[in-house]
Amino acid sequence: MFRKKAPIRILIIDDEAALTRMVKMTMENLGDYVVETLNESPQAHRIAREFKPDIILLDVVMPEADGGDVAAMLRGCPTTDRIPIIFVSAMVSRSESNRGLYQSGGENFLAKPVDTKTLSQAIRQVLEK
Amino acid sequence: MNTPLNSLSVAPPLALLLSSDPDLENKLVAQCDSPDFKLERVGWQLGTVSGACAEYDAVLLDLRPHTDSVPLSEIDDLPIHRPQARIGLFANFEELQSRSGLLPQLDHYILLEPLQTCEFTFHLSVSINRAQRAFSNASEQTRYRALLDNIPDNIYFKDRESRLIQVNKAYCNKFGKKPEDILGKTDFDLFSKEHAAPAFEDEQNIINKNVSIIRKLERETFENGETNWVSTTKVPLADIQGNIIGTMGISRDVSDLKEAEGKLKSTISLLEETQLQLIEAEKLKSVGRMAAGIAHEVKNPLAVVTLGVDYLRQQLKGNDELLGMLNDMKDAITKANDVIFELLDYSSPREMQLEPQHIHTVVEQTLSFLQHNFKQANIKCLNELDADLPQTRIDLKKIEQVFINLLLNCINAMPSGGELVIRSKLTRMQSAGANVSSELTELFRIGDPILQIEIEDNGHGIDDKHKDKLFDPFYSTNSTGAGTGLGLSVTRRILEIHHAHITLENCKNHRGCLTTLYFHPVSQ
Repeated sequence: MFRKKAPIRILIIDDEAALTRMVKMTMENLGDYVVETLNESPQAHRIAREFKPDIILLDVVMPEADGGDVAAMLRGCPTTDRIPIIFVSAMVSRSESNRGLYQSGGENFLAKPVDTKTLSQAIRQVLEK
Repeated sequence: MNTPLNSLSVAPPLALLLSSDPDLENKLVAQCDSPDFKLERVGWQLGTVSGACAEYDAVLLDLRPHTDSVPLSEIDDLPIHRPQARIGLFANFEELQSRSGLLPQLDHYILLEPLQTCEFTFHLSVSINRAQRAFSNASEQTRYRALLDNIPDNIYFKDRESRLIQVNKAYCNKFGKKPEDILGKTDFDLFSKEHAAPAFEDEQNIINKNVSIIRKLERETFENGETNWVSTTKVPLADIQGNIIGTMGISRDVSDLKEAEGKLKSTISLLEETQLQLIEAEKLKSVGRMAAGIAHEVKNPLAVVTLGVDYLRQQLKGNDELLGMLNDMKDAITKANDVIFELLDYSSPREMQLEPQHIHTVVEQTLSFLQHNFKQANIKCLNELDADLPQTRIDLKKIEQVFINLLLNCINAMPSGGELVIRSKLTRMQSAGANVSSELTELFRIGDPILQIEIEDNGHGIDDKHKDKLFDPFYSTNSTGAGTGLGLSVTRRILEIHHAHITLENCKNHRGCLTTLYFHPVSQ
């Protein structure tokens, strides 16, 4: 029997609720994704353990714990340390923003504003690695 | 009568009488017996008096014929201690006439016979006074000469035709000549005409208008081409009646000072420039902080709208009208995002990372980066870059930004497509002619190598009314909102910090704009 491929589980962490909502709507509308949203970054570790995402989209500038803190927290725990992270940042240069997914300091980055196509391409690219 | 003596004598004058006539001795000593005047006597015996003479202001020599014991031939051997007066005593005028041969050896004489006894001290005072004045004049001459010859400044006296009539040692040394080789000459014989002509004019002015020139800074140029800077003071030279008979001057070599002043000036201007740069940097820092804040605050909503548009596009498949509207919205987001980038570029706090690079690789990288834009705008791009040119020290990312800005401008200038040529060459700074901008002459000296990049388009060119404002921040000719007006301003700023320069002009042979960039190549 042909078995349907399991959807990719995405956890998006960003203090901007409208943005996380929009990512959830657009990505889930594509059909291949399940998206969990989180606006309070200090909860990241708990939610990640519960939701068990395949990949995390992580904002960089956030009021409580910023992207760097959250990444360190996740990588410090054996249950979450293997989940790939894509940082989604507004603070990038023009040439970086034109590149889609790019690496900097060993991390994956995407520039805001990002469209659905670039986002899904980037997610697949990271997961295929 | 005792006459007060001049101020040079502090103690009461003391005279010594050399005579073998006891009568005369008694008579004169009695006359001079006052608190203001003293006369002592010694019998005329040369050997015994010579040593003692030094103490006296005057030595009176009894030269009357009857004083046979005085050996006239020995007057010369009598030691003279200047300003000592040697006064001959003669009986009367006839006797003086008959023995006038003695006069050159005397400072003064007194005739005893017509002399009223009370007049003797007066005559003695006058004699001493004269001797002292003569001595003083001689001393003054010596001091004057010493001053002239030991002062390191150049001192000179000239006649009305500006011929040198007296110069000091320093003046001679300056030319390495003897006074006799210099006297009678004018500045035209000693300096270049460039210096001599205005100096002559100055001197004629001093003579004709009786004015002075005080500490005028002059550049002296010699015939061998050497130059130095002097501070010159020239005043009229007058004779005893007050008639102006020429000029006298003193000039001091201030080349070292002038050099120090030049260094100081350039240090000050460097400081001012640095200060301005610091102020500018501080301003940009705050703009930078603001821009970063704006970027963050604006990009999140842009991200929301972007994804929202994507979502609606997914939902509205088949409805072309609404899809067209959504595409316009997507373009609007891209434009808004570009504005944020330009703002960030303009205020980018990132420090420069200058490294020697081949500029053609940066240009080629940018061209390939914009390949899609060229294709879309139907623009043919001709690459005439010379890969063999020397490197230049640049910040790769910043210069990439420069070429992106310039090439995007070209694309905007050719809305219906066209041709764009980009070429590079190595030239040299030719001359500071009228058609060379002052910024360029500040950056490159004549003969300096210049790495030149030219971008030539056949777009609408530059309108004369925009010419002066092209580099002003927020000035844009794109009324449709295709740009923020920061592109060229950012470009120039980036080039400035590379000590490079940019010019924009209309092409000479066809419609369009020629952009030229001037870089310093790395010396090989």
